[in-house]
Amino acid sequence: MRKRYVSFALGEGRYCVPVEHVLQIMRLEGLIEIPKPPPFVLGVLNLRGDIIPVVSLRARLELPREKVTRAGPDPRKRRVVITRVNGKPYGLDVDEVREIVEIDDAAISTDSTTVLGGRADFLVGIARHEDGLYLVLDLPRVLGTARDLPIAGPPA
Amino acid sequence: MSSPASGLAASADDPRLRRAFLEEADELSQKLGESLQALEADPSNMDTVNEVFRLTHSLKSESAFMGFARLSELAHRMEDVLGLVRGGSLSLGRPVMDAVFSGADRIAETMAALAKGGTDTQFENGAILRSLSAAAGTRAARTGGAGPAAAVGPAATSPAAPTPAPVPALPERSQAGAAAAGAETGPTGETLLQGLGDFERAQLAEARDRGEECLRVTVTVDEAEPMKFPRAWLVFAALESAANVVRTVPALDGQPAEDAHYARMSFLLTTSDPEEVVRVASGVDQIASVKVERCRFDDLLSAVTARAAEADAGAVEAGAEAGSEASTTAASAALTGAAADTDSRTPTPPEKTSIRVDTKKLDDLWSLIADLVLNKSRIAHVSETLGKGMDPEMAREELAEAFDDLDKISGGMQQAMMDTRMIPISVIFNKFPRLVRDLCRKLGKSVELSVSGEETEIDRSIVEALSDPLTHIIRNSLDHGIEFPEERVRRGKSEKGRVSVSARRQGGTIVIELSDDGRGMDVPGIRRKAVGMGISGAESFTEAQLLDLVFLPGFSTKEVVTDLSGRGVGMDVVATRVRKDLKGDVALDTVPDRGTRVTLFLPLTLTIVNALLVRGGTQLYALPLTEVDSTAKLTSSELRGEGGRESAAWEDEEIPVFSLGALFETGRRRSDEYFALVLRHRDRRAFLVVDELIEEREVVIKPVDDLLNAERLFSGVSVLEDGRLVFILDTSFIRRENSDREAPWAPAS
Repeated sequence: MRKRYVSFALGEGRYCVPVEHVLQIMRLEGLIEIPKPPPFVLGVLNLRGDIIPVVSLRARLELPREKVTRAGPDPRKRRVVITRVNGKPYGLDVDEVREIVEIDDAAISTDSTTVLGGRADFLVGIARHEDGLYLVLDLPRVLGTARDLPIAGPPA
Repeated sequence: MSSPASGLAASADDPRLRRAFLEEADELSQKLGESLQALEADPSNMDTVNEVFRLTHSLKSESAFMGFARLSELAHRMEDVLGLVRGGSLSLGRPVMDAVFSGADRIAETMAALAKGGTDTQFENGAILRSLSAAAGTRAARTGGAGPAAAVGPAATSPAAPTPAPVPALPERSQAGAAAAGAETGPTGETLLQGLGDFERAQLAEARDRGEECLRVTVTVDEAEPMKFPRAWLVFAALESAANVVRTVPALDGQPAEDAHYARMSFLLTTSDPEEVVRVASGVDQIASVKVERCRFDDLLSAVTARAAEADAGAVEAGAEAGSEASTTAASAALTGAAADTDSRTPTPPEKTSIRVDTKKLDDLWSLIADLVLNKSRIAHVSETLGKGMDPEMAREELAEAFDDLDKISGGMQQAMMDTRMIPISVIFNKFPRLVRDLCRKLGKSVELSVSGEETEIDRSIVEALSDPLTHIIRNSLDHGIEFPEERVRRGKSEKGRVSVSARRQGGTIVIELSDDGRGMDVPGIRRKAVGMGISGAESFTEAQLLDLVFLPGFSTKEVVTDLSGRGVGMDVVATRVRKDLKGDVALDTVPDRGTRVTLFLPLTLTIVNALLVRGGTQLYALPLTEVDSTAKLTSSELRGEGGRESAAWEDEEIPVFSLGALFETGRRRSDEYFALVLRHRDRRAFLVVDELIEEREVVIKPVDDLLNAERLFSGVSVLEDGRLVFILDTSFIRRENSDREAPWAPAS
C-alpha cells in the first residue's frame, strides 16, 4: 500500500513521517524556555493555548553536530513540524522541510542496523524511493519518554 | 429475537432519536442495577419488585421502539421472570436472582456498545436467555403441574378470576371461539392459541390475577406496503408499549420467514387498557385493518391445559419428586454459561458526550447572567452620559463600582460553572455493593459493605479516572485482606468481614478511605522482602516508609505479595493513577489482624487552583495554596547543614530546606536573608527558598507533557494573560527528595 509522508532534511539525511501525523509546519518563533529540560527539548511553543514541547531531532537522534561549513543548514529554512502523537502535539525542529513523498509499504526495509551514526531504534525503517533513501521515523518512540521509574535492584 | 430485518430500525439511524434513547435507556439500566441490589438485600420488598419490573418493561419497550430486537428480547424475558415474582408464583432464589443479574449486566454492556456506535446484534444472549427461562422454569417444577391457578402462592390475593370490565366495542370469544381460534393457523403453520408453553400460560395466569384482560389482535398490513416484516415489527413494538404480548404468529424471532408471511399477524396479549391497545395498533402507518377480540383467560388456560395436559402431566409428575432439584441444576448449568459469557466481556461504562446537571446549578448560573446583563447596561449608561458631559470623577466612581460588581459576577460564574462539573461520588460507590457481592460469591467469603459520604461532590474528570483504582483496592481487600469465614471465627472475629468506604471533603481536598477488618499487612515481611531486594536502608525504615514501598512499581508483584500474605497486587498502578494522573496522594496503614486502610487524597478539581506565584531565576512557578502552610524569612544563620542538605527550624521541628535555584539548577543566590515558603505534603513539611514572592492568584492548570516533566516536579502548567508560562510544582518532591537523602530505594551498590 502506498502512503504519503512529509519529508525533511536534517544534516545530510532525509527523513520522513506519515502525513497524517503532521498538523502544521511553522517557523521556529516564540520559543519559550522551560526549567531543567531534557537535553533534546529546546523549549515549548504556545500555540493557541496549547503548550507544545519542541524537540531537537538532531539531539534526539544523537546525530553528530553539524560541521560548521558553508554547506551547513540555512537558518532561513529551519522549521518546526508540528505532529500529533498519541493525541498530543509535539514540535520537531528540522533543518528544512522538503516535500510530500509517496512510499510503498513494501519499499520500507526494516532491517536497518546502523544508520548514519544515529539512533536506529527510533526508525521504522529505510524507504527506497526513486529520489533516494528516506529514513522513516518511529514518532511514538522518538517522542516517548522511555523513562521507567527507578526500581529496586533485582530481586535477590 | 435475533436480528430482524434492517428496514424496521429506521428509527435507530436517526442520531437524535438514538441519543435520546441512549440517555434514557442508560439511566433505566443504571437504575435497574441499583434496584436489583436493593432487591437482593430485601427480596420480600414488593415495591422494589415492582420497580424492577417497571424498569425492565420500559427498557423492553424503548429498545423495541428503536429496533434493538436483541436488547428488547432480553429485557422482555427479564420482565417475564419478574412478572412471575411479582405475582408471587416465583420466589427470588439464588438462580433467579443470578439470572436476572446477568441479564442486567448484559443490558449494561449492550448499552455501552450502543453508545459507542455498535449494535445489539453483536451480543449473543442465548446463554442468558436460557438461564432466565430456566429460572422461570424452576417455578413450574416446584409448583407442580396443577396449572398456573394453583401455582399462585398463598400470599397472592384473589386467585379467583375477576370479572373483566366489559369493553363493549370488543366482541367476546367464547370457549368454542377460543377453540376455533386455536385451529386457526398462521401461514407458517403456527397457531396462536394452541400449545402454549408453561411460560406463556404462567404469563396469562399472572395477567388474570392482576385483573388484566386477554386480547387477540389481528393486524393486516396494507397490500401496497412492500416490506411487511418491518411493519409487523412496528405493530409489535406499538402493542408492547400498551400490553404484554404473550405470543405472536407468525413468530418474529428466529429466522424471519418470507416477507409475505407477515401480511397478517396475530398477537395474543394481556393488558389493563384494551382501548389503548386499539389506539396504538391503529396508530401504525400502512396498516389496512386491526381486529381486536377478547379471550377469556380461563377458557384459554383450561383449553390449553386440557390439550397439553397429557403431554405435560408425565413430565411434571416425573419431576415432582426430583424435579425441583433437577430444574435448579439445569438453571445453574445455564447460568454457568451466562457467567462465562459476561466474564469474557467486562462491561465498560459508556463514554458520555452529554451531561446531566442539577437544575439548581443552572439556575444559579442564570441569575448571574442576569446580573451580568444589568452590569453591562450600567457601563453603557456611563459611557453614554460621559459623552454628554458627565463629571469624569463621578464616571470614574461609577465605573469602579461596576468593575467591582463585574469581578463578583465573573467569580460567581466561574464557581457556578465549576459546580456543573461536580457530581456526587455515589456514581462510583454505587457499583461497590455489586462488586463485593460478586467477589464474595467467587471467593467464598462473606463481607458486609458499608458506604458513607457518597453525596460528596467531586470533579467529573476525577470521578472517571477514579473508578478503576477504587475498584482495585476493594478487590484487594476481599482477595487478600478479608479472611475466610472459618479463619475469622478461629481468630475470634465475626464470621462476616467488614469493608467500609467513605468520602468526605476536607478543605480543598477530597479524602476517600477504604478500610477492611481483615488480616492486615505483614510489615516485617515487607521489610524482609525489601532487604532481600537490596533496598538499602530498609533495615531501619519506619513502618510508613515500608508501606510506601508497596506503591513502587515492581515491588508489589503478585509473587511478592502472596509471599507476604498481605495485599497490594497492582498497588503501584493505583499509586500512579492517583499521584500522577489525579495529582492526589495515597497512603496505607495497617494493624496486624485488625485490618488495613487505604486513604486517597484528591484535589477537588483539576482545572483551577488558588496558587501562590513565585519566581526562581527568570522562571515563574506556582504552588497550590492548599499545600503552602506559610511564608517565612530565613536568615543564613538559621540554616544548618550544607550542600543541598540544609535544614532549619520551624515550629519546634527541624525541616529540610529546598530552593528553586537548586531544584532547577539555575544557581542559588547567596545572601543573608531568603524568602521561603513552608510547604506541606501530607505529614511532611519543608522550606522552599524562592527568589521572589509575586502574588496569590487563580491559575488554570493544563497537563504538562512527560517530555517536560522527566523528574515529575510539575503537576501542571499554566499560561498567563501575557503569554508567560507558570509551572505548577508538585510538592510531593519534598517527600521524595527527603527519601533520596536516605536513599530508600536506590539499589545497593
